[in-house]
Amino acid sequence: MSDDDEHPIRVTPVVLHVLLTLAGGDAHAYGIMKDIEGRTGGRVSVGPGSLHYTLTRLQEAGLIEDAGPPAAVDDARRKYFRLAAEGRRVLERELSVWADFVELARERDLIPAPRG
Amino acid sequence: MPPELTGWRASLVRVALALYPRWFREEQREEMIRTYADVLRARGAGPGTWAWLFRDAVRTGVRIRAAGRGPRYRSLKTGGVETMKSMLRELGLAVRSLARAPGFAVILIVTMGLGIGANTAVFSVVHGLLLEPLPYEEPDELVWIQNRYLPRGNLGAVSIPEFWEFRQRQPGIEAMSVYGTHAANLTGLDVPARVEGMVVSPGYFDLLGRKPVLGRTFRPDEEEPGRAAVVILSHALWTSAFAADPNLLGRQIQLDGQALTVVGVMGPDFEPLAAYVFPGHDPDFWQPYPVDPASFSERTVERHNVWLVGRLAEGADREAAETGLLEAMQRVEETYPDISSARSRDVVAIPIRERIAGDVTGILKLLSVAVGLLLVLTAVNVMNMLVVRGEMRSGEAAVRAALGADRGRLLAYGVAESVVIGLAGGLVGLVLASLALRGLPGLAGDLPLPSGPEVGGPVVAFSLGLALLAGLAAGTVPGLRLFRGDLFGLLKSSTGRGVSSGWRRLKNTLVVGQIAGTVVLVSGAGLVLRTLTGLKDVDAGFDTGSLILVDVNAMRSDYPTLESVRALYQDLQTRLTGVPGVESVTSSWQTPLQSGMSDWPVQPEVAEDTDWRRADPNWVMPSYFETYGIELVEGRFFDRTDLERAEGGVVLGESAAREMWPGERAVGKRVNIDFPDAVWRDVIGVVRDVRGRGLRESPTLQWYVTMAPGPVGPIPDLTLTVRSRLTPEEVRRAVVQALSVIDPDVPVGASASMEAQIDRTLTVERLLSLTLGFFGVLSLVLGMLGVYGIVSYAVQTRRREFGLRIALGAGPTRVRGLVLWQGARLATIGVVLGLVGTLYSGRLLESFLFGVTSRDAVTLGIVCVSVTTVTLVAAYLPARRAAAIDPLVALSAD
Repeated sequence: MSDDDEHPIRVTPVVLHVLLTLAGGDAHAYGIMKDIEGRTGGRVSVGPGSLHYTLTRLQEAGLIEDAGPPAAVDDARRKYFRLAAEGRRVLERELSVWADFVELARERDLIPAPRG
Repeated sequence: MPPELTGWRASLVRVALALYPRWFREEQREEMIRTYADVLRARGAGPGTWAWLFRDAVRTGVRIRAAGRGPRYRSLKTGGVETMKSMLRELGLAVRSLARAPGFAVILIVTMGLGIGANTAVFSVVHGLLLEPLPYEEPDELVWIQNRYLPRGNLGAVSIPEFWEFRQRQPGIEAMSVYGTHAANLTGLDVPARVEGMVVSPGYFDLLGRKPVLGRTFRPDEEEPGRAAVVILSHALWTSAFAADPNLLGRQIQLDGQALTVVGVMGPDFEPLAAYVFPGHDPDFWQPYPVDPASFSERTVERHNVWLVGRLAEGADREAAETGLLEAMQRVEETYPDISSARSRDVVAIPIRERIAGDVTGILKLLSVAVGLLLVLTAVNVMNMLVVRGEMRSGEAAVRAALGADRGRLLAYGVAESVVIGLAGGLVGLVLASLALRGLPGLAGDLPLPSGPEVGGPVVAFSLGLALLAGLAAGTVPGLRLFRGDLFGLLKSSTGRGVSSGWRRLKNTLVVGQIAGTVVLVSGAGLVLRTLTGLKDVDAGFDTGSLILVDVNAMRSDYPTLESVRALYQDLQTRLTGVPGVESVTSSWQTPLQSGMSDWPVQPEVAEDTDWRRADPNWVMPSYFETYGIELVEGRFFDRTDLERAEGGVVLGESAAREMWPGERAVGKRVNIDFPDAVWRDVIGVVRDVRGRGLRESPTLQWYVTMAPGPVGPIPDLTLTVRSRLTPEEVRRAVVQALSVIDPDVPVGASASMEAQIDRTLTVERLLSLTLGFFGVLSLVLGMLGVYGIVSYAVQTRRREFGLRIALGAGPTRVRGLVLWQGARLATIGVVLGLVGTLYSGRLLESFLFGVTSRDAVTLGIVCVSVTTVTLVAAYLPARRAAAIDPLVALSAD
């Protein structure tokens, strides 16, 4: 039984995206939104309400935390978030499940194998 | 609003924000406006963007409201609210809230009630036996004085000359009184009655500090022989036999054919010391014990037949008193240097409380530990259930917080419910305990508590206090959980971890503790159960089935000689043998498994070894061995001719024969049982040993003589034993019938089967295995519920993961295995800890065990396997649910 079994947070796609973004560095709400859109080529876009609600829940669950403004500030008044250790573990576990998923799909030739 | 958000754009953003719940909007307003501005700048404020923003606002607003997450605690001090009043209001609210979920409430209250009831029942016995002062003056100064035989340290009664010497010297003891039980036939009434009494020193009542309600107590000179024709009656006998006649004082009553003048009547509240010291005894009269220093001889010194109670002198301690007593005893031994017990013993003065509670103190300790454990387990269970309920009700708490409830109020709200449950459980427990204690006399008739354990003031206070404590303990965690958001922040900042895993760990620990406690309790029950069956299988040395004992008491005045007593019993036996259904009849002084005072001197006739041994004697009619089914080892049983032979033969028990003539035939040798004289009797037979003093006690040295004329001992009181398929009552009627022809004045006492008597000796073991077993099953059920709850919750939170795994091709067996593994881990840790606990606490149990050690591998193995199995069964149900998860449903749940 892993320590995350009873996390009050359901790892929805939005949650996964937020955690993925923060894994790449601290960010504020709009920065996260842009990052997700950029990464998915606009296929996934998270609304401001949904994003802020998700951020609140993630912070309360201890998956992310308040980062304080970074050194090179573009807007000191904005709230920056950082991936907490707990969040990183949740992310890794979730991704490993998905990786199994993908591998299985490849074995069954449902998606193409990576080149090289 | 940021500078770029002006005019209609700002208005639209305000409308969008209005779609969110108020607490969320207020908390996130500034951040969200900034995000809205960023989005509008990047995407342009076209209708597409606005539609997207509004769709998002409507959906998220609904989602937040549906989730019902409350705001964090806001510091809105209510201020000036009287704590008491608000507490009462919380309790009232809690009662109403519980009334809305009656099934849930009843389960919790009954769970709590069982835990508290068990504690109350045990405490009321502890209170009665160990805490409540005895109903005598300064009871802590009272001591019980006994001989202690070395080297084994077994305790025994004292003799009258020893008592005389002790009293002359008064070694740190200001008063003492001899004490012997004594039964007599009360005649001169319509029906003769067998009444129990005591012979005591004249100072007995003064020693205890109790006065009669009528008349006086004994005068010091009334112990002189020949002057003792006086008697004091109990209130019960005075009312039942003499209609509470106040004119009875100074009149004479007939006891054992002797006319005795009634000089006093004790009050109804006088609890005789015998009722404590010899459980089951309830004397109805007291006579002075005759003491005649002129008759003291080696024979009287040797006769250890009185108990001695004393009062420590002001300022004297027990050690000093014991030293003084020992000096007095040594003086007795100097006067009579030839006594067989010389220099093989010392004297002890035991506090009376210790003497009374001694046998049961260990059991009470054990039961206290067991019920304490049980209460912890029930409180934990109640706590678990409240937590689950609290999680379901967090919205309610949120509303209250939003309405301005402060932290204390929220905590009170959470705790109030469990306090209500605790107190209600306390009341249920009191009822259960009184019911259990009412049934106790049937189970444990011989507790040294004359009026039985009572659920009185201190007991009620104890159990309600315990109930309050258990309620508070069970409520703290759910109470704190009610404002988890706030707590979460606190915990996170101090540990850097989420509260969730900490809480989960706590819950796991509690369940592991429950399983461990269950193992300890069930193991205890199992060990005592094996002891019980072991004791029932013990070879008592005779055939215990279909034996019925009847108390028949010939009056000494009517049957003054051995010959007359023998003739009466022979006649009775002959008549009973003719009754259909009766196989065989006999009479004897002692009966197996319940012999009383014994340890008589016996000496073998051996050239180089003439030491006196101590053995258990018995006077028997010739048919004794056949009736009891005691096997002959060598020689022969008694026959009718032995009854007529003066100083006839002796039958020895196997051990006695072996002890005195190791490796040789005992038959044909001679023994002397007439201490201190030398009267040599032939050993005519050797029989198998019987367990004389109880199933646990290995057989002692034993000898038997028949009722032949000779110098040995007084004329014994005989018990009639009948081997018959009839019921005890039918046999009793047959005895009454037979006596109505022989001598209708001989009263017939109670009849009982030997099996019932044996059962009585196993009272403690049965009580212990029953209670421990009951507690064990109870805690097993609680543990099962705990495991079921934890595993179910885990399955619920991992639905998505299991859904994925199933989608990835994991079969139901694998998913079930994953979940069962969680249960198995809890079970394994719990069982291992429980095993350690059992091995550790086994020492408490050791003294009650027989034929099995507290580390008995078979019992512990069975318990561990059963507990593990039951735990896995509890985990299996959620496991099956996990395996049945539909991946499509699970994955699209969000």
